[in-house]
Amino acid sequence: MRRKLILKLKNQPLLAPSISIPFLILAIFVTGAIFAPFLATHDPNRLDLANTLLMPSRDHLLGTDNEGRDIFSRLLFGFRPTLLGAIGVVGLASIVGVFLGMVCGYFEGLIDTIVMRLWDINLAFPTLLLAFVFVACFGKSLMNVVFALGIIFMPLITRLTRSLVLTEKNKTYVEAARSLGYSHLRILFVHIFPNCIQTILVQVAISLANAILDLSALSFLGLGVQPPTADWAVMLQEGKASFLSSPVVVLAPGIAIILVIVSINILSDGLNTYQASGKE
Amino acid sequence: MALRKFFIKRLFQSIIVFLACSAIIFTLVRLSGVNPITSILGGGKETPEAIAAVRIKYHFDQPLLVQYFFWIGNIFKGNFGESYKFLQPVTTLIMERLKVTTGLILISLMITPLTAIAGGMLSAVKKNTWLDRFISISSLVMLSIPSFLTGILMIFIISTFTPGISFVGSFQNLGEFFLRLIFPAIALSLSNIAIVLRITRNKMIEQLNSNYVLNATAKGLSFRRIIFGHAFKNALSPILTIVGIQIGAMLSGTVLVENVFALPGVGSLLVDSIKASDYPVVQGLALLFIFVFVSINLIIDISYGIIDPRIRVNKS
Repeated sequence: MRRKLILKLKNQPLLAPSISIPFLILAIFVTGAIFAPFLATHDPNRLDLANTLLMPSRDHLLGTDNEGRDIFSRLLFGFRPTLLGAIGVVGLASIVGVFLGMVCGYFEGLIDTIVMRLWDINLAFPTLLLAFVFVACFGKSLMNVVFALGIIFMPLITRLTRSLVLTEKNKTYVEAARSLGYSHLRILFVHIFPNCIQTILVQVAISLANAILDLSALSFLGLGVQPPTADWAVMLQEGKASFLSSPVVVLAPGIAIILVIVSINILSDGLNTYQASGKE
Repeated sequence: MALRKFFIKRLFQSIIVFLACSAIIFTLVRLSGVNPITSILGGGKETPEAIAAVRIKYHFDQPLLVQYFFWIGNIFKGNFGESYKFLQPVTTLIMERLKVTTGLILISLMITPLTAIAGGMLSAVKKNTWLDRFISISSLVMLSIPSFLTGILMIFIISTFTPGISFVGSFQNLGEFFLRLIFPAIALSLSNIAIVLRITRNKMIEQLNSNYVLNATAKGLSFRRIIFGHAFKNALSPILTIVGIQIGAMLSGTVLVENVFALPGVGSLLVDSIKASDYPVVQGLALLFIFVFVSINLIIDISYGIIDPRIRVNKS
């Protein structure tokens, strides 16, 4: 009986280690970020100049940074701005991108040409450059960076959705829906959309990883999240100088970023394979 | 004939894209709401006469469209304006710092395609062996580490184990220049290598599963001949596209790597100028980056047209 259950679980593709392990890691980090106020042992922003660069101990689980702030507490709080920002970036990019992609793919014609040419121009900007210009013009803040990255991420999702709709709309079920007299909007959003959502979700997951990387990069340069707010990239920039004497200052946020991004990437790879095996 | 037509058409498109990008940058800067006159004059020196002089000198008294044409016209003459912060021509500022960045990108461009294509092909040929798994996992990890973190870790590891190598100070000769740049260049390349490697692997596997490879095997061609003579040739154009896109990522990547390794390149100039709201420099650098990126993609597209005649017909 038990063996049967284990076998059954083993054959369940969503429980394969390549999906479940990264999911678990992400769940731990996200839970830590959500419940940071309850889990943190210290105030993440309280300076304690008498106790700088302490080694990990029972009082400070990961030691303290160069201004005496508790690294463990900062690590918990430090995922919040990046996570929220990345969700904002991907949310903005997916809502606009999916909508434009569906409209362009379904109706084609003039609107399709205009949107696609606009996105060609968007893609002619080297990655992040538009964000740099944006920050230069409208000031250093997480909001501005999120908005700029949202625009940068739109073309990819638009193009993907558009190509999916282009193949879907020639299938028999669309013809059937059309002959039943359904409106274009209904066909597009009730019939075609559910058939595209799986592939789009994988792209959204990959975009999430990229959004976290890009947001961290901008915060690291001092253009995104502003110190003293606890943020992993800000912690890296501040800890860079004292790395040699006290490696935890950099290793803690560094390993956290790597774990999160590796997990998202493995997860999206796993979902991709799962999806491909479902189609066969 | 078809090739020439294709070339002219692509060149024309690139020019339009470049002009559109420049217009976007110009508009964004003007939308910013920051008064450029105050930035030029600096605090406390804003007498009415000085403001009027600056307005005329920098053409702020003209309509926006006229200002744009003044600006773009000057750029074609090689004049990017004058930095508000350094009070030097933008061209001079950029030229001084171009050496380091060009060096970084050239070294990366030497490392990236070679390692990535070799690794990807090896992975594809040895598909589903331990070697393939090892390459796949390490490329996934490489993809997931931001370049600035790689840089910090590299500095840490190198200065712990070989204290002789220094990351500060200037460089006198070409050897020192190369030594200073090799580690930043590696930090810059890792994630790009991973991306190109994964594409190479997928495209090679796709080609190796195709019928013409089966046919070539049946004909008795050597394995080496099939891989290099047939499969690789067909996998090459999507790989080139990705390399082209990655050069764009490299251009912004230098900004991060130069920050970590404290290198005096255009990337660090860009960050300083953004923080100081030094718009002429930001505009000039942004245009330079776009120009390089658009040109590289133009070259890659044209080289496709030469490699693969089908593209000329399809695109024109």
